[in-house]
Amino acid sequence: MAPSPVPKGRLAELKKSIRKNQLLLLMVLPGVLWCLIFRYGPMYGALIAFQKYRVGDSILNGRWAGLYWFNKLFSHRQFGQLIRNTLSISILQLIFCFPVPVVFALLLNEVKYVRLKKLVQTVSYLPHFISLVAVCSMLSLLLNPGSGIVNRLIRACGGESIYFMGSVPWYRPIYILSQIWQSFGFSSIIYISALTAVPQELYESASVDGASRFRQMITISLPCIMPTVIIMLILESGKLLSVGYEKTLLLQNPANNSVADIISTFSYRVGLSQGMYSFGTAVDLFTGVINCLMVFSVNRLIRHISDTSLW
Amino acid sequence: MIRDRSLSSRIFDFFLYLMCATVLIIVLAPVLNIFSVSFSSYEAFARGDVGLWPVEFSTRAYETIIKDGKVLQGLRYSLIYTGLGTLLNTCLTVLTAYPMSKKDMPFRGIISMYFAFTMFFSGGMIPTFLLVQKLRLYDSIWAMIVPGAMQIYNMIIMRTYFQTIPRELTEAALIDGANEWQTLWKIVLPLSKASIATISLFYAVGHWNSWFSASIYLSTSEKAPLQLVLRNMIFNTEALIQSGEADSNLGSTTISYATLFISMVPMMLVYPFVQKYFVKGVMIGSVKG
Repeated sequence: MAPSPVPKGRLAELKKSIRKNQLLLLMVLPGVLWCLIFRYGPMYGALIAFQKYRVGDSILNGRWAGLYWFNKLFSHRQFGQLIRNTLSISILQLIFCFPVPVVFALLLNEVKYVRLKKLVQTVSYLPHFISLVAVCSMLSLLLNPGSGIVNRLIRACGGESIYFMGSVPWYRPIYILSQIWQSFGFSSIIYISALTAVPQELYESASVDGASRFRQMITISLPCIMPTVIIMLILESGKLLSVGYEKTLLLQNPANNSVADIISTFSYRVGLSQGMYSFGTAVDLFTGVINCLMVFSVNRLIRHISDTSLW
Repeated sequence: MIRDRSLSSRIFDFFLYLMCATVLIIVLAPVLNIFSVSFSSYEAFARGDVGLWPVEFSTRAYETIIKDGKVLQGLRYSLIYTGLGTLLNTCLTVLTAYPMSKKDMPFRGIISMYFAFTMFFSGGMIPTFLLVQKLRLYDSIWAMIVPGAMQIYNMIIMRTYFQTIPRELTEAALIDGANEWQTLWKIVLPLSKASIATISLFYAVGHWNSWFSASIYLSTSEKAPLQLVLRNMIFNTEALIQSGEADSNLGSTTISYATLFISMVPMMLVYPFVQKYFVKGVMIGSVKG
């Protein structure tokens, strides 16, 4: 079958291939249609960010408003605070949540007692399977100023009860610490499996040379998983403006709102709670576009780095 | 491996055991406290005696929950959403991933990009909400299932797995006269039980733990899944604290503990048994991701 340079021949070939593989195409059809409706549909619907949309309007002959809602967002009195809160949480996550699984994987790799290692590993996955609602409920119950065990312990040590959930200075530590609690085990999977790929001979020759196990961990294990760490770090930093709204919505209350409120919860509030659909969509679109740009530039960066790291 | 028995190595071991103990305590202590309070008598809890083990064992909180019925109803709906949702998720994912794993499938590249693009950019929460309303799914149980019928990321993991199945196996079946549908059903699926189980588990965890779509798509509170029931319970408690009526009702607090424990138990029981599968799933995902 010589490939024909004439487009008509290629078309015939395509037709033949379609006929031959029609069952495959039929199989993929439901997925394609679903994606069209529920993934591309909302993208079309997002055009209302450029309109003054009211319930019942159709998008095609809607009242176009240009960049009105975007200007409204940028000149909103809360805009600075929202950006600051969003960036604070994601930067704190990067600084505090990111290194924990790396260190955990390195240390766990050194535990020679296999059963203990397995046990700790399994237990560390547990919080990943607990829902966000459950984790935030747990925080609320355990940190309850009256009956929570944490405040009981504080009082037993002679301190005074703290109302953690309604406190501005405690909001970010609680958010970050619970984030670490929930994610460190599961995030460590990728590093632990990277560590199993390290050739044993490296450790053997190092210990013949008299390197202590701690030294081996720093000079052999760590450099070996460094490429993985860097890629994960870059991927994480691509999410700078995309702090999830779910956890914030669960932890947010009138008392801590000044530090809790982020861009995505703002969009939820003006869009769904107050019914300003166009405004909420514009806010979402703004972060969506920035996230998309970040991810693509980060991808380029990774390609660049992994290319150079080959040499 | 050469065993190092020097003093420095033993000190290092000591710190490792310390780390292990710390991790075990930090992860398990909060869960144990929830468990203990939910099974302790109300009086012991009010005195502040309950730590990491039930004091004056009592099932009163659970009895109240059963009598009241609200939590049970939430549990029932959670099971419905998780069951139906996971079934639809798994079918659609396999059905889409199989053709996408075929090298000679026409338009493969275009369809691949068509799916992948939605992982980077989405229309957002509000247009999706308006779409759900327009399709008359609002306040129906299908609103909990159909909009999230497939995760593109999981479909890609599944496709990657299908590609590892030796081509000779499927081609032999095709030459013997089986069509693609029969090949998928008779050859590919039996070989992929473990991966399908993993993907189903990912989906099931997602459904069981989800609350946000329920909070925006459902207006009838009777249809709320357990997670949403729990969340509303906790919100009411927090509102009571903020209005200064704290702890006037400790009895309802033990009910919150029990509800919280019920919401965690199924996933806690399941995950250790499927651990090796999801570890594999994460690995495949990270290679392609």
